Amino acid sequence: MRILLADDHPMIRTAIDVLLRETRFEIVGTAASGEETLEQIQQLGPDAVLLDLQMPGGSGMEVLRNLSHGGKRPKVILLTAAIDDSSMLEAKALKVDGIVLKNSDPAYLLECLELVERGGSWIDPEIGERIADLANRFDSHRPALAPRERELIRCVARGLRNREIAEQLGVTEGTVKVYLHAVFDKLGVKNRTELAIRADEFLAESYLRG
Amino acid sequence: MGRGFRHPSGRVIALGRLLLAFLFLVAIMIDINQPAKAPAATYALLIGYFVFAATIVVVTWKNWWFDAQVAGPAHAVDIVIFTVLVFLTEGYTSPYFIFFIFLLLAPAIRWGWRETALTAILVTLLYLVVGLLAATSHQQFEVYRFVIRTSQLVIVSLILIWFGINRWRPNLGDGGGLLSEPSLDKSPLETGLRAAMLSIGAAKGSIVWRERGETEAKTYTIENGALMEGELQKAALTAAVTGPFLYQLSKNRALARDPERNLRALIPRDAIPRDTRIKLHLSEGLAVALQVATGEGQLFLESVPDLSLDHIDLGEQLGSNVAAHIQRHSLLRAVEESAEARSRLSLARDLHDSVVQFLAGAAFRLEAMKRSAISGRALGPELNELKELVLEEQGELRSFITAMRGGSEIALRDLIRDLQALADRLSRHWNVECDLSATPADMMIPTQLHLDAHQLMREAVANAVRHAGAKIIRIACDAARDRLRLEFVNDGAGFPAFGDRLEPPQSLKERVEQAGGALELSRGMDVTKLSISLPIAAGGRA
Repeated sequence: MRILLADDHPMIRTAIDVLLRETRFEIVGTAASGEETLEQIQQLGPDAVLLDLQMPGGSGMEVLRNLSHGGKRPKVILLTAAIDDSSMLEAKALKVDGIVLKNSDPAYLLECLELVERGGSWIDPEIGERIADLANRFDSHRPALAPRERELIRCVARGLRNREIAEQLGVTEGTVKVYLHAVFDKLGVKNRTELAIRADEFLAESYLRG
Repeated sequence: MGRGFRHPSGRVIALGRLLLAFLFLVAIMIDINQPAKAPAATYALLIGYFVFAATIVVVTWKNWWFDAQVAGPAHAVDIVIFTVLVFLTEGYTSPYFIFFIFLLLAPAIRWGWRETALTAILVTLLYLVVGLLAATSHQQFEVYRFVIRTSQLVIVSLILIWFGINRWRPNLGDGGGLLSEPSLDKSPLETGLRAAMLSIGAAKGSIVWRERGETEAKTYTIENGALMEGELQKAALTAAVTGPFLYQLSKNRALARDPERNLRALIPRDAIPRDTRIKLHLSEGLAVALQVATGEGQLFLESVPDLSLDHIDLGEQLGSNVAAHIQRHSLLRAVEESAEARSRLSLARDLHDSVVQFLAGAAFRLEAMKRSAISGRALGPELNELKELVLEEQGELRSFITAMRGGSEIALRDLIRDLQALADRLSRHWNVECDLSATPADMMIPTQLHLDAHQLMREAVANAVRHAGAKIIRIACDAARDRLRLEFVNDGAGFPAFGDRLEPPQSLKERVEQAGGALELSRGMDVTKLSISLPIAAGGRA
C-alpha cells in the first residue's frame, strides 16, 4: 500500500519511515501542512494518507473534510497525539478509515494499516471507549444541527467575530446574527460565551446523532 | 421627587438671583417710602441688576462652561449690589436679610466652606462700613437695629460655613487610601471593612458576605484593630432593605430613607437576620447593603462617634465605595486567572509540540527496532541514533526546566547561550545551516520570555524549512531596554502572500501575539526576513 505521511514533526516522520521500512507499506511522500497534504494527494495519488490533526496551514480535520467533499479519495488514517470529542465524532461521521493515537502501543499503527489495506476500518481502543461513553451521555431531547450550524458553532468556538464568521461562511453579518440566535434557541444557551465553552459538547452530540 | 426641582446648582443660583432682583424691584416700586436715597440711581441699579440676572440665566441655562466662567464675576456683582442696596434702602422692604442668605448659600452650594467664609467676612465688613457711613450721614440711624442685624449676619454665616464644611460626599475620601488599589494578597472584604470604619471613625465593624450561588456566608469582624473571621450557614441576607439604615437593637429601633429621602422606621429584625445579629453581636450602628455581580452582603459599623441621621447619606457613598472595591478585586482576580490559564495553555502546547511528539516518535522507533531484532538484524546504528536523539531532547528539556525553576527572571546571556545550542540542534535536525549571532548585554529578562524565544525560534526555523524549503537560516538576537528582537533571514522561496502582504504562519503569529509582541515579514534580494519583537516587561503578555 502506497502511503502519504502528513505530519509536521520530523521525529514522527523519521520514526514512521523507519517503522514501515521493512514492511509492505511504502511511504511515497511526506507533507508538513494541510495545504501540502492536499497537493501531494493530487500529485502522488497514494492509496492511504497517514494524517496528523495538528498541522500548520490547515489542520488534519480540514484536509479530511476537503477530501470527503470530493469524489474518490484515498483511505485516511488519523494519527494524532490528542483529539477532542467533536473532531473524533466528526471524523467518524466522515467515514475515516482509521484513528491511531500516538500515545498508544506503536504496534497498533501496523495493525491498523493492515486492516485498512484489507478494506476494513480500525479505531484505537481508547477512542472506541470514548465514543461509547459519549453515546451513553447523549441528550436525546436536543434538536439536530444542520451542517451550516455546526460550521457556525466551530467559528464561535474559535473566537471569531460576526464579521469574520460572515466572511468565512460567505454571508452577511446580519445573516450570521440571525443564525446565531436560532442556534442559541435551539441549544438553549444564553449567549455566545456559553456556546463557545460548550461547542465541543454540542458538536459531539450532533455527530453522534448522525 | 419630580423633574421640577432637579436642576444643576448653577441654574438654581441664577434663577434665585433673577427672582430676588424682580422681587426687590417690585417691592421698592410698591413701597412709597422707598427708595430712601437717590431714587433714580436706585431704580436704574435695580433694573440693571434685573437685566444682568436675566442675562446670566439665559447664558448659563444649558452651558456649563459659561456657568463656570461667570460664577465668580456674578458673585462679585451680587456682593456689590447687596452693599449698595443696603445703603440706599431702609425699612421692611430693604433687601438686607434674604439677599445676605443668598450671598452665602451660593458659594456654599457651588464651591465650599472657604469661599462661604470669605464671602461672609467680606459681606459683614461691608455691612459694617455701610452702617458706619449711614450713621455719619443720617440722623435717624438706628444703632440697635444695626447691632441686631450684624449679630444675625454672624450667626447665619457660621451655620452656612458649617454646611460647607460638612457636605459629606466630598469629604468622605477613600478610607485612608485603602480602597485606591486592590491587592490580590488581601481580602477585599477585610480591606473594604477597614476603609469603611476609617471613613467614619467606627471602633467596631463587621461584614457578612455571600458569593453568588453559595449558601454559606463569610463574616469578618474588626474590633480594637483585631480581625475575627467566621461563617454563617444558610445565611439569609436581607433583601427587604437595600439602602443604608441606622439601628439600635436594644430599643428595637431602625431608620432608613425612602427613595424620596423621607425618613421611615424599620423593624430591626426584618432588616437584620437573627443569625447575623447573634453571630456578629450587633447593638447600635449603621448598616449598609452591598451588591455586586459576584455576590452580596451587609456592612455593619458600630461605636461610631456622633452617630446621626447624616450617616444614612454617608452610608450610600460608603456602600458604593466598598462594593466598587470588591468588584475591582474580582475583576483583577479574573484577569490574573485568565493570564494563568493562558500560561498553562502555552506550557501545554510547548510540551505537546516537543516532549509528547518526541516520545511518540521514540516509541515508533523502538517498535521498529523490536521488529528488526526479531528478524535478526543488527540494531547498533539505530540504537545509537535514538540515543543521540534522546540526549538532545533531554538537553532541551533540561534548559526548559532550568528556566522555569530559575524564578521569574533569567540572565540575557543564559538565553543567548541556550538559543545558540538550539540553533546547532536545529541545524542537525533539519539538515540546514542555521546560525545565531547575538549581542550579549548584562540584563535580566522574564523566564516566560526565555520559553517564548525558544519556541518561536523552533517554529520559525521549522516553517522556513517546511514551507519555504530554506537551506540557510541566519538568526540575530538583540535586546534593548524594553524589547527583545529576534530576526530570521532565510534563503527559501517565501511565504504565501495576500496581495502585497506576506502572510506569516498562523501558529507563529498566535504565539507572538500571546507573548504581547509584534511580527513583521518582508521579502527582498531572494531572502525572506521575519522580525519578531517581544516586550521584556513582565506584564507584556496579551
